[in-house]
Amino acid sequence: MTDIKQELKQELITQLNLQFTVAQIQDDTPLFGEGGLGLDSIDALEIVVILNKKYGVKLEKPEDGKQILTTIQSLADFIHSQQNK
Amino acid sequence: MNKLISWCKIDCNSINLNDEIHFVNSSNTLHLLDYMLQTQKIDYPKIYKMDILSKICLLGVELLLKDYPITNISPYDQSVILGNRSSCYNADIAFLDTFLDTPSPSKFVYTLPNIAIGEIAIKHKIKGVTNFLIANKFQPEFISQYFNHLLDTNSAKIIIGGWVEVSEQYCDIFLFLCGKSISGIDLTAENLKIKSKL
Repeated sequence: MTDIKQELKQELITQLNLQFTVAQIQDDTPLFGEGGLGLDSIDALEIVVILNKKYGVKLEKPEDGKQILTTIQSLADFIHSQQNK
Repeated sequence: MNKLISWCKIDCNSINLNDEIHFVNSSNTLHLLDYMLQTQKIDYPKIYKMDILSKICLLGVELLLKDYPITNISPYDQSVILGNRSSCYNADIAFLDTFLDTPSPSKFVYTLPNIAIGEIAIKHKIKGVTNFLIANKFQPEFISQYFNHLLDTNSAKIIIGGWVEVSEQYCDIFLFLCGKSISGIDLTAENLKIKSKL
């Protein structure tokens, strides 16, 4: 799980061109909004692509997105739950 | 009389801001952008996500407005009108490349040239006339007529205009700020021609 979280942080930094280091992103740092990574709706789409491409998991229900795309922890939890289905 | 208030000419070798030349000697546009990002110290994380057209336009406008802020003018009276020859070709190709795998949403959003204008408008809260023109080359006669008309009919009080032709290897940027002002030089085709060839 820790590996996935570290990997996710690096992946987001690279793919979303974030001006953060892995160490600056905590597991519970909000992905969106002030005080967090400040991501936007396009970033959210890009994360969905990353989840599918890198981890082979699909966000089937759009209404679940708000809860899943909250923090690195929630993303990792989602990946973990989908891969262990 | 409508005036050219501020102007900025950028290529890979130099940045000319209001006739003051700063030599850069970058080997390509990407190096130039790195240099500008480092030296201008712009606190705007979103810029790192932009395509090169939006990035260079935004950085150029930052220089243009550095000593000539437009915040005292109503956002609805501020305009941005840019043009180039290749539209958003670089962004189109970058997006096309992702088709081989998974189309990238963040690449897709830059596949319209007027997105560069949108980025400037968002950053500076501009809400007036915007337009992105495609032409074979910069047309000072047409631009001076068009911009003078906008200013004379009060369709805009201030206009950020320019020619923004850029690729990873090539950079030909001419940006200018014009409007009703007591300072600056007259907004004529001849002056646009001279300043665009600095």
